[in-house]
Amino acid sequence: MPFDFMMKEYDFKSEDIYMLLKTDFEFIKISTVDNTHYLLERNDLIRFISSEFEENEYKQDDFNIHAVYFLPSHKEKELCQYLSEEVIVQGLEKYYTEEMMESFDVDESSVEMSSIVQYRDRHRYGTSFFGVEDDVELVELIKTASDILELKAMNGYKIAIGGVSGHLGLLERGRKVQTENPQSKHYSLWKFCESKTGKRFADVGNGFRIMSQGG
Amino acid sequence: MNIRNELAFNRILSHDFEFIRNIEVLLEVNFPLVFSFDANENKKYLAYVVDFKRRKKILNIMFVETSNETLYDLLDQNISLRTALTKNRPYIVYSDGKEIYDDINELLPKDNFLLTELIPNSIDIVSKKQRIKYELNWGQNYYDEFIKFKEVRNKYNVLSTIFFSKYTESLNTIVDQYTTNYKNKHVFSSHRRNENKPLKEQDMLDHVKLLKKIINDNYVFTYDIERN
Repeated sequence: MPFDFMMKEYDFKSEDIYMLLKTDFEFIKISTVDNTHYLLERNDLIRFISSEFEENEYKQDDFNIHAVYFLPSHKEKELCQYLSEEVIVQGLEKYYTEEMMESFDVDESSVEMSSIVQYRDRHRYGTSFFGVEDDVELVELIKTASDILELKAMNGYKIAIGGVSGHLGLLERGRKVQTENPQSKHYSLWKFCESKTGKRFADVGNGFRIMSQGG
Repeated sequence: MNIRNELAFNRILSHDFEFIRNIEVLLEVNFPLVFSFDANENKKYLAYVVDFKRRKKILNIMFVETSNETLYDLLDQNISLRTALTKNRPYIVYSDGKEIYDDINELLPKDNFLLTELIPNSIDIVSKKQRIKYELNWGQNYYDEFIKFKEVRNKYNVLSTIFFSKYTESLNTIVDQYTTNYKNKHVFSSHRRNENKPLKEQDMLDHVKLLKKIINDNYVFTYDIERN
């Protein structure tokens, strides 16, 4: 059971129906009432690799995908904003290239204390993946994901295929109304903080490879 | 992603529309690609994101006036996204105001692109489809119905509000829509998952027992209850 493991192994605290999960950036409140949607490991996942970061800045070849492509949504957004202003923001320093560190200004504002993210907001603070139910082949999802890549706004995005393992974070499988049709499933990953696991976002990336053109 | 919390999206929407409400994202991967909303005097629009680059501060969105019938057909996979976007005359609003595209047809998705359930999508399109069906059947917005019943008191005196509805709803959207509209309280709804049926009265009582620990005045819980 993920919650038992998290309490025992990483000393995450549980209060009433919530567990306070510590990530690299904040605490996330997770409801422990229904644990059927939570997992510590999952194979056969895909992730859309953002085109916001330039390939000559951050590597994304085959098995060598830079950690920046696996940041949670809110931090990816924050980094993009500061990169466009050529400013180094505290807390994300390790995601700037050497050239950037030398030429960008440093944001002098003080770092906020670790905040607590409410349960209902949790998905905005995770890294997104997609998967399918066990009775659907991953290749079917890859086909529809390739169709998404053909949409104009997805120009430059790539698909990474792989899995999350090694107990580096908690995954939540999205809830959808069940039908008879094969469905995609959304997964949020909250990576546990590095101080507890020794694992970095690069370790998440190590579980994935970029899908070559044409499959 | 909550579109109303995104400055870039808000700026484009407020530039061309007034009284924007009932935003429904229909396709989202790393960011929303397709969404619908109501605006102005009871007009409904379908929006298709053409470009979104945060670092370059670019957001160009295609808009077309639409209807619940078209949205239902789109979510029911009877028509392609391209067909839905060309039912009326689409146009693009550019974040920097400069028109950079001459031919809208080249920007549209391929004609075989359907919003299937297997497309990677963090949105549950089946529940969206049910909500549109509700509007089509009952001639009123799902949320209007919700508002209508929000003052109904529960005889067990534990919950603040009961919501009777023929269709079920995930709670997140209601929270987004009504957190500010109902005395700054967070509204949660509940139903029997996966079966798309209202709760039995006993189910509700059991749930209330569980929730009692965390209930306080900042929360409003709503339930779909099967009436005898």
